[in-house]
Amino acid sequence: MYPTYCSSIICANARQLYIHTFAYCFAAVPISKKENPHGVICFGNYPRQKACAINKLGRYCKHMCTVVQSITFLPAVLRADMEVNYMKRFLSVILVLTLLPTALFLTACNNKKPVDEPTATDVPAAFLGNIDEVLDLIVNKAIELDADKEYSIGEISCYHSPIDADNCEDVLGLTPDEFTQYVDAAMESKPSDSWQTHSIVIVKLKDGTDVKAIAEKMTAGTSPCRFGCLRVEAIVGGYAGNYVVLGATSQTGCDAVFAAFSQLAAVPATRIDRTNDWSDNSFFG
Amino acid sequence: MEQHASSIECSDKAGGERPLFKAERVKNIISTVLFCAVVVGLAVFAIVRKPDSVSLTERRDLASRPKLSVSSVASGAFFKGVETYLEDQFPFRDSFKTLAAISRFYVFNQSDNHGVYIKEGVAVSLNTGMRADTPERLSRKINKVNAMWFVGDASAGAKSPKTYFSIIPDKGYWLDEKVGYPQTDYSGAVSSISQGSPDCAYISIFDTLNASNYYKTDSHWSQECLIPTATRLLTDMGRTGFSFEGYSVQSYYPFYGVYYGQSSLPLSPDTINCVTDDVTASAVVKRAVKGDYSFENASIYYPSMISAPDAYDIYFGGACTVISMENPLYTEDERVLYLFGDSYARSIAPLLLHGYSRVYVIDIRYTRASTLSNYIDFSSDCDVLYLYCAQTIDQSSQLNTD
Repeated sequence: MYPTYCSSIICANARQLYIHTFAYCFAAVPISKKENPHGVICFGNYPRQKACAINKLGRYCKHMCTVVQSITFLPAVLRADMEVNYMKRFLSVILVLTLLPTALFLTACNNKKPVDEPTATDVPAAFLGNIDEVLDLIVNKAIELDADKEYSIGEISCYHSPIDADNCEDVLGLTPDEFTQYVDAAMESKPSDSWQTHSIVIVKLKDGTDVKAIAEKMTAGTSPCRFGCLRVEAIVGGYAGNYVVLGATSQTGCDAVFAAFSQLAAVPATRIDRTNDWSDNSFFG
Repeated sequence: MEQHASSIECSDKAGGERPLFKAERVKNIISTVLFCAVVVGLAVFAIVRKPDSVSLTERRDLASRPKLSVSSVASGAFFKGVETYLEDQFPFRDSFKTLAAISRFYVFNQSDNHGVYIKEGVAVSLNTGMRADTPERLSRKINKVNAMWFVGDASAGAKSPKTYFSIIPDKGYWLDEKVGYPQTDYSGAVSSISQGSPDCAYISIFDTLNASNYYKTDSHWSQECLIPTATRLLTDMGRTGFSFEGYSVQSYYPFYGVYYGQSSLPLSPDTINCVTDDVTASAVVKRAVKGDYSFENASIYYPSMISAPDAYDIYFGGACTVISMENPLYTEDERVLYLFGDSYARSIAPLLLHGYSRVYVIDIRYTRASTLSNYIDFSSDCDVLYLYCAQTIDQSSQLNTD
């Protein structure tokens, strides 16, 4: 009987949840002094007989039950019939204590992290050379790291194309004004004569820019749908010093791009993974 | 109270459980077993089943099992990967998505799912509009290409070819308002491009189309419905001596368009109808070879592509930087059409070939405009048409005019 009872309590069935939460926690039924000489607190319908049983054994049993049930859940399931009242109360309290923080966590949960407004900071130089050379270094290193993969980014013929106010919104997720304000130079390695979804971008930010905030803004804002009819598989960003890298290509390609950036930078690099919010892949979202 | 007490007595006297209580217990056991079977069973199945590599409905690769290592666990990459993997590889995923979509559309009466709404049996995307500044950007791109290849040196007496542009409306143009969504401002886009590129004449094709001229499950237009549109374009470009009489249609089924997967609804697939006649049969078609400035022989239609992930690749075998089509049956003149366009242009190009001796379909999303001379020996006896859909205009920053 008890395993069945307890299972039905555990079961996340809405009706059961309602019954056990309300009937045994809140819906108190008054019981006469004769039925309940020791004043045991009883609730609901079932507890009436349980209360009688408990009263027969006296307060000693009541205290024992409480102690045992407080120690562990599983033994309590196997206790004698008289304990069910406490068991249900105990489970109900646990249930409420579990549901309450869960509800709070879920309410607080949000996919989209707010992007901090950029503030001025001083950062050390991570790379030497002009932006074209830096991109060259990163691309070659990434190709080297990605060489043994099934679809290596080294197989994609690319060329370097400067990013300007015309394409900054799609590639960097920055408005032309933001681009002018924060970006010193930016260069993209993109496919030449092919329709593969592949892009590696290196951006040098102006001194005094909040690199972390801008890097997060770029990673969140770069368009995954800018490759014609196709959508990119993964987007990974990163920053080191006042440089930001953006990889929009295969997952292994993105990993290789960040690894290359991280290995070549003179200062530690921080990775930013963009959650895939462009594939319409959720069940209910 | 009285009744309850007597029930207890009856129960005690009978020496066993009451039938009602027994039924309750059986019900509890069944619901518990079913619940555990669903929760635990699906979880175990998700872990042990062989993962799918591709989602055909969404046309994308699915996440594979993340590799377990100390570093991946420490960095959090493993559990992030597990999350993505389970979301992608959950058992009966498409069925659950369909169930969710049906609930949204038909139970909760929501208008759209994943940005796709259904009106009059037609799936329409809400994400095909244009940002305000993008038409102006397109005009700058057009000007760059024109300056690069089509503006003759007036001082040397060279004559520049005629250039035209046209906008392909999304089918939402006819349906958005009926559902209560805001309409894309096409007239604003036209005036913006016209002002930005005054030498480029606008050809309106809006009145030659309607929502039923598009596939129900896809964003593209249906070729067999485009003869009035092709006629309008050819006529406005001053072409004569063409005819579409006597054409036939080759049908290919089923075509699951891009919205089929995005809406997650059990929509009926479309049929791709390809227009065939003497011109398409005798056309000499070549495709640019990837990574090489040369052409390979090709054909207009690739029927086998009907079973490809994107069956729209039936036209010329899919996206290509430059496609050359020669029409040996056109004898009026030697005029060439340079058609700058996107995937929509691929399906109307065979129809436009009826009015020219040669048509080049050029997609500068995938190649740089400056490299076109490696493929094409530009003729001065030509027309130039920029034909883009709203979505491409919105992404016109990706037109490689460098």
